[in-house]
Amino acid sequence: MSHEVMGYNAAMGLGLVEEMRTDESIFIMGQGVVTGGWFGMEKGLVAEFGADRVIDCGISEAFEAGLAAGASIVGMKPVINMGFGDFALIAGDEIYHKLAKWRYMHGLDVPMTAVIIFPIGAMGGAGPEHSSCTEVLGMHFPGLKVVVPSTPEDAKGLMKAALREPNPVLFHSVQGLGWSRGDVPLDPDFVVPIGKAVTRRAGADLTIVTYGSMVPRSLEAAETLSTEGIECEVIDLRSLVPLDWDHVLASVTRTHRAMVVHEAFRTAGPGAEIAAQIQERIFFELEAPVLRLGAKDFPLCQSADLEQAAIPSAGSIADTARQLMAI
Amino acid sequence: MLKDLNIPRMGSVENARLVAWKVQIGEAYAAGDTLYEIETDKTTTEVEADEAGVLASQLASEGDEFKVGDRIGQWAAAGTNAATLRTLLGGEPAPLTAVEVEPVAAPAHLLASLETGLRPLPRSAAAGQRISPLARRLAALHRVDPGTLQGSGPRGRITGKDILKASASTSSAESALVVQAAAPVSSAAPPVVVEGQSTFLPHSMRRRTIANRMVQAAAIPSLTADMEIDLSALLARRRTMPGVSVLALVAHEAVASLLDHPRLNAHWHDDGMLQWDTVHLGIAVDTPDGLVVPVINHAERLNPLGLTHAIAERADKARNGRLRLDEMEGGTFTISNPGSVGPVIRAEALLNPPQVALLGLPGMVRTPLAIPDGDGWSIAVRPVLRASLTFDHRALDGGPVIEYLNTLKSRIESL
Repeated sequence: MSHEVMGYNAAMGLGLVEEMRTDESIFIMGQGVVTGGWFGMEKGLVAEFGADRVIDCGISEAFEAGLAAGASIVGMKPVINMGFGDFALIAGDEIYHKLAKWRYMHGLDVPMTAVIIFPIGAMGGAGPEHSSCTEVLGMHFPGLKVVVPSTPEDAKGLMKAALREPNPVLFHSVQGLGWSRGDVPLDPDFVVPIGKAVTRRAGADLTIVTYGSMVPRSLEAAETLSTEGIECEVIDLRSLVPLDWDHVLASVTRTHRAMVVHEAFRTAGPGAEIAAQIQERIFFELEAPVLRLGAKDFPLCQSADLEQAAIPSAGSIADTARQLMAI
Repeated sequence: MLKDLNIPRMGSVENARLVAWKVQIGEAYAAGDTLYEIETDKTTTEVEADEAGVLASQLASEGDEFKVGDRIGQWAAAGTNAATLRTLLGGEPAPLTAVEVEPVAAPAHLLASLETGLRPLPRSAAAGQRISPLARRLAALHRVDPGTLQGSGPRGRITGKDILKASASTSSAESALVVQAAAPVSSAAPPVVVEGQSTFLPHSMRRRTIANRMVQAAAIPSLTADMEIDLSALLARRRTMPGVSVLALVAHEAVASLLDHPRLNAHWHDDGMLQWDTVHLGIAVDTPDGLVVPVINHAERLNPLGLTHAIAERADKARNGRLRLDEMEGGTFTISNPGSVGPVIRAEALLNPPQVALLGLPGMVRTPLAIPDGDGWSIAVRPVLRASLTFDHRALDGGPVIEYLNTLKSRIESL
């Protein structure tokens, strides 16, 4: 099967289209999906699948997520695009209570396949209410799966896996990577399994555990550090729930030093959980404490320049790595 | 409550034999008092009490052999009276002899996690040291006493690499014990003592260790190269340096030459050479109890007088059996000096693995030498040392060894 170079959002859309072609129970709802979606993922969907399966909504996130919970219980496979992950908080009860808990609370012996798309992160001045990284909420409430692809290939492969998954999946698409391009397999059987991390770069001196928008920046930092004699291993988690602990712990057991990098706020961000578990589980493999690098703890700036200064850059990642090596 | 008395961890020691109890059952002792004496493969050591107490039981007899960590007795808190002691002992199981004490079975998942690394050095052993968690676990795994190490991390912190380095330098001692289990030194038939004609002398732990290490060393493909060195210059130099021994002067030049030829200052490992930038010099010392090789750390930092004192101090301790374990471990190169015992002509020796080279020094002889004299040669009687360098042929070929001897010869002859 061949490959095609395409953008991140287009690859996500391709994954959705391929699954919709083979599974009639899949439908999508969201604001503007009929006209191609806010970021182009849903372009052309209505022409192929019709208005019954591509449903435009008003500003009604709570309704959409609640509908997803109900529809999934009766065997449909809803895909809801929240437009911005920030707005999913309006639907917090439906996502973190209904979708996450109903299979358990009601002993439902049926799958609840539902994909909630959370576009997350800075995108160049969208401001503090349109740039949040909320993936940590999905980690905190049991019952959900959480994925954050960092490449077009993973965007397609994880979307397909999410639509074959019997549990609700919070699918975080990274706004900052929306227009990044990459090779995407066209094989309709290609999926990226949920819960499997991947090593993007091998190195012996320290492990950078990251995902999403920070993967390319960590790789850039690793190249800079390589010229200084520091070889970083860069792990792209891809899934936060379930998190591929075996992969992370095996790497840190080799390097004995680890740091977590994400765009989400540093305090009580995903890195807090990851650092804590590394220390709990392999404390006696560590030469140094596990460091965390995330966005600065204040509402993200409106100015695109200040916005970039608030989230980790390749330079600040390299600085933290140097600090870690000096411990 | 009764507490266990265990054979303490001492460097790379694994086996120990109880020589004598110094405290009797029911007897009270203070912290620092000697509780018992043990013989290890390296030395005989008195074990002192960490805190005051009363000895409740002796679970081992003199002469019994143990592994490090084995329980040999029990004690109670200071002030426990005889009646309380009897009550406490009433509930205890029958005394154990010198067999491995089976630990209480732990749940399988816990055992698995312990085996994969959650068994660090106890807090007491790591107390007061800057040591990383990884180093703490590796120290326990490789039986390295971090107290003997200088950490290479920031502010002297001991890192995992420091422990591995120290472990590599002492691995000879551990592997010797492995050899002991796999291939004990044996003669075909058991000894038959003929009354009035022969006496059977059981091996000491040290003798057994030496025997096993020699078997191990003899299995290494080694060769010896000899070189004739004129000591006239060295002896003349020595007259200007009161108190400096000939051995120390030769050793000083041998150490300096090693810095130019670091391939000889190395340890053999199956997957690579561990080459040292510093010389931890082993000096073979003959003692009534057998050969021991105390180590002078960082010998390259000592001048000839410093080396003279260091050699004398180590030799003296060796002969009096007062060497500490850390003074016998970690050597990177060894000098054997049979010439000090008698006028041997040649000083070939077996290697001290994992070291790859050993310098043997026979007695100095006065002998006629052909000396360049104008355009021709003349004969002169000169003090000559025929040094032997034994090397591990797996690690080194003849070339670098001869180059080393050339450097040593020219350094000594041009002092």
